[in-house]
Amino acid sequence: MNRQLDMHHDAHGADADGGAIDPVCGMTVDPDTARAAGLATRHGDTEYFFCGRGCKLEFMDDPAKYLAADYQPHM
Amino acid sequence: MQTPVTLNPPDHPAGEPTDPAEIALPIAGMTCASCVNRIERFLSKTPGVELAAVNLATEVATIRYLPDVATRADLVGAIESAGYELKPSGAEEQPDAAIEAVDAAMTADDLERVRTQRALAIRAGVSIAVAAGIMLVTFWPQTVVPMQVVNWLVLFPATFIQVWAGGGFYRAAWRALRHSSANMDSLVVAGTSAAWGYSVFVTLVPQAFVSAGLEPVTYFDSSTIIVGLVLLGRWLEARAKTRTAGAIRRLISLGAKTARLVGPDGDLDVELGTVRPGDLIRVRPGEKVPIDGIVVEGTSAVDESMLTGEALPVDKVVGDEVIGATLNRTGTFVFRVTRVGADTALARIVEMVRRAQGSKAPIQRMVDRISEVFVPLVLGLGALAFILWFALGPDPRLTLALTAFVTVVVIACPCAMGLATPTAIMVGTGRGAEAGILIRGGEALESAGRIDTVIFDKTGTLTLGRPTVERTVVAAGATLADVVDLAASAERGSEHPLARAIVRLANQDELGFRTPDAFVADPGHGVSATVAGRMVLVGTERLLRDRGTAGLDDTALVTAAAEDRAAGRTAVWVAVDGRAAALFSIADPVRPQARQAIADLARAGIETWLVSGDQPATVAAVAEQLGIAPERARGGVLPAEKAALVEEIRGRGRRVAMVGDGVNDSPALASADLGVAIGSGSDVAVEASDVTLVGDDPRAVLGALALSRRTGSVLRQNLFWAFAYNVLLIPVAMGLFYPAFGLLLSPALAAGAMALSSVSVVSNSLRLRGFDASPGSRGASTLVRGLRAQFRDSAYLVVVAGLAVAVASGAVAIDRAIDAGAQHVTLTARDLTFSTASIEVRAGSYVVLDFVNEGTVFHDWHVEGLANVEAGARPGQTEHVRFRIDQPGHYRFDCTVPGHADAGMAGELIVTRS
Repeated sequence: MNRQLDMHHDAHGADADGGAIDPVCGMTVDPDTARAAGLATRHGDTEYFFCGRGCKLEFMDDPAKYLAADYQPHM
Repeated sequence: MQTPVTLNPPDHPAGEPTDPAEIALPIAGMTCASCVNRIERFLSKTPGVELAAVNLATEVATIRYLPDVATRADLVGAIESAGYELKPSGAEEQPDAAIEAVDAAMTADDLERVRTQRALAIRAGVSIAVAAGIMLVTFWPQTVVPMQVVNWLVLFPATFIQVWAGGGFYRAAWRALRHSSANMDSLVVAGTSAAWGYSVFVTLVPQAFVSAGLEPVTYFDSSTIIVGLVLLGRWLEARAKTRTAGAIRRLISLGAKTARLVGPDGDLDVELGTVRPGDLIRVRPGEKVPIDGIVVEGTSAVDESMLTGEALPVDKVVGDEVIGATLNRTGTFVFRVTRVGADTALARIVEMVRRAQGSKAPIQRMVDRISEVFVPLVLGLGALAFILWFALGPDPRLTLALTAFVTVVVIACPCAMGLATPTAIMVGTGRGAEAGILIRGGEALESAGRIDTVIFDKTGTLTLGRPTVERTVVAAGATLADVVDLAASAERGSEHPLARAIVRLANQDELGFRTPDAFVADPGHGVSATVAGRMVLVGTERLLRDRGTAGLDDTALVTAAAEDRAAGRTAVWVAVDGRAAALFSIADPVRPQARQAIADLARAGIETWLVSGDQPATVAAVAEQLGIAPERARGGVLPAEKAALVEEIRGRGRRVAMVGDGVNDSPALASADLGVAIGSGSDVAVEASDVTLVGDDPRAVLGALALSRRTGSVLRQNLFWAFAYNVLLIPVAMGLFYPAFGLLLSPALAAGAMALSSVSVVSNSLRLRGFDASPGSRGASTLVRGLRAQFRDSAYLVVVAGLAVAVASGAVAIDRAIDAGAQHVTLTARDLTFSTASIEVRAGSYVVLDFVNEGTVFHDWHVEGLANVEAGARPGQTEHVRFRIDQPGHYRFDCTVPGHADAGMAGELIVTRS
């Protein structure tokens, strides 16, 4: 039962837990850890955090795709 | 994601060089599925790659590619350009490290499981004890300790239980809520929080309720008993589940730890971890083959049954492949190591079992499915009750509307819900155990109930696993008894199963007891010996031909040999004094009950398959004997292919049970919807399975399915009745009967529903004890149940409900009788005056007092020195109270609303000696 998380794709900032949402896969990421591991990038005025290199590279290849309003983050 | 796995090592591509090869590359640094997609995409864009599957859990990329188009370097390059790298080769230097890591994780898992189980048991026990105590003190009729003091007393233990024992429910419910869904935990949280929160409020501010004309009653007993019983159910279920991780540990323990390395200065015992491909290893009789390789010197028979389930030892000569963890029987041989560490057959099976166990989607529990709908529904009904009371109800509206909302949520959580599943599973699995059917926990039962396809592994499940001579054909000029006597005598000393078959045949006729001379075994081919002065050869046709035997073209023998080949039997030739004399056709006979088992399954509408690593001809012959359709009989199937076939059939939307007994079946057992290990199967097969059949009767498979279906239906009935009583009380809690009957939910009603649903559920589960699951019994031979049986099922619970109504009516009748025999007093309160200043009652007998409020504000009646003798009513309301005072005397009563007593609302209650 892998229910799709119902979240907004623009929810990149810190949420209630102090975690950030990886815009590619939708996982919750701790911004400090991600920054320390080089898994953060700036696009426009916003800093984005990623769970791993795969997501970061995917994002940097085509940020518009993952920031589009109809993009559903998925695992 | 299912990654294709093959037992063919990457450096030994089967077939011609143009065939695609498969390689497994360990990848470091993957964190989520995006990584997987990215690497797969980069790999599949590489020329020459046919298929790339990346497994996140095992961190391995399995790639099928054309070796003449792409090289390993190209593949590594593709992975690197995707932003990843291969795991450092240190992992390959330490082949056992991966397995040891798995082992360590498993041990940690086990410890964790034992710890959580003990914590569950403690929490459940303490909660139930506390709940029992709370019920005792709150429902015990007494006039000594005021209710409000009792409330304060139980507030602390109830709060402790809510936080300490119920904490886990809050965490689980929160997780579900974040996925905007609801499960059983959500329901428990909603129900117990409402009960507990409401009760805390009542305890802290009783005036708010008293002045609203409500009894200041608490539901602490409900909140604690629900927590306790649900935890008890969880513990029962956890206990029924045995360790699954054991399968992998046992697989690992199958392997040898050291190897005897053949070196220039003689043999040397070394750690297995230091062995490299290309090393030469010597294996003596009775030793385990330490690792995979190719025989380069010597011959032997190797028992591979722990991996293949195949009873016959396999003869090994130079050039044959040997597999690690198998047992060398007869000879000494030297082999060249071909695969080490994670590449060995055993390591790959470990990996497949691990993956299959991990990839099996968990069944969503039925209670969770119900809760998913039920929780929002209850909240909706509660909200509706709130709105109705707020809009239409009397004052104080907010208090009454909130109370209606809270009590709806309180009653919605049935405490029997926690018992419905575990009690059915306990009785069902217990009944199965008595019939030799061991079922691993509730998930196994649930999936067993839905099976519509059964795949049998031939060896040891449908056949006896003991080769038997099925036919003897004698050459022209030889006599049968003579040949049997000589051949059996020659084979007397041999442990080979084929030899045992011939000896057994002879011994039945009291033949074969002569002493052989000059016995020589030629492993893989046969034996030669001199018996009573005659030269006897027993073995393959090739052995006889090599020894220059005459008469090999005897028509009867040649015809029989051809038939044996077609029917999948083993032909054993016998020559006496250099001339072919007879041919024994040996086969593994099917079990006597196997045919019946297959027929019963077919009648129950279940599709049967036969899949085996044996020769296709043998498998087809057995399938025909059993009545299995030829297109559903597959021979020569490798372990990985068995698992793949399971996946393929599942892919067609069928629910598959796999029945097997060998280690090589364990990946298939683990990946099937239901894995069934049969008979004296290997420990590993048993642990990778969901169901174990202790006997070797294949009819028990249907018995297991029938038992599971029955248990499943009892489970569903249980859930229905667990919820039914509480659902019936929802309208009461909403206050729908208030206008007509003045009936609202009370702790007594809630406790009654709890008791009824618990009794229904537990006794209904116990009815399963009547089910006979032993092979061949009526209940275990069919899945179809008669109308009468189905009627009995529903009738039983209707009778329980009827009894409940009878008991309730009885209680009401007794209540009425007490009222009828009681002294009746009416006390009317008007604004700032009571209708009488003196009430006289008899000591030791019941008194019913009707407290009528004809005033325009709230009034109550409170007796000094007597706890729990009190009444309160809003304007126009009448409250009935019943009490009994044993101590004669004069008691002052008044209205506790500030100022009312001073204004004259006071009087005296005179209790006279009876």
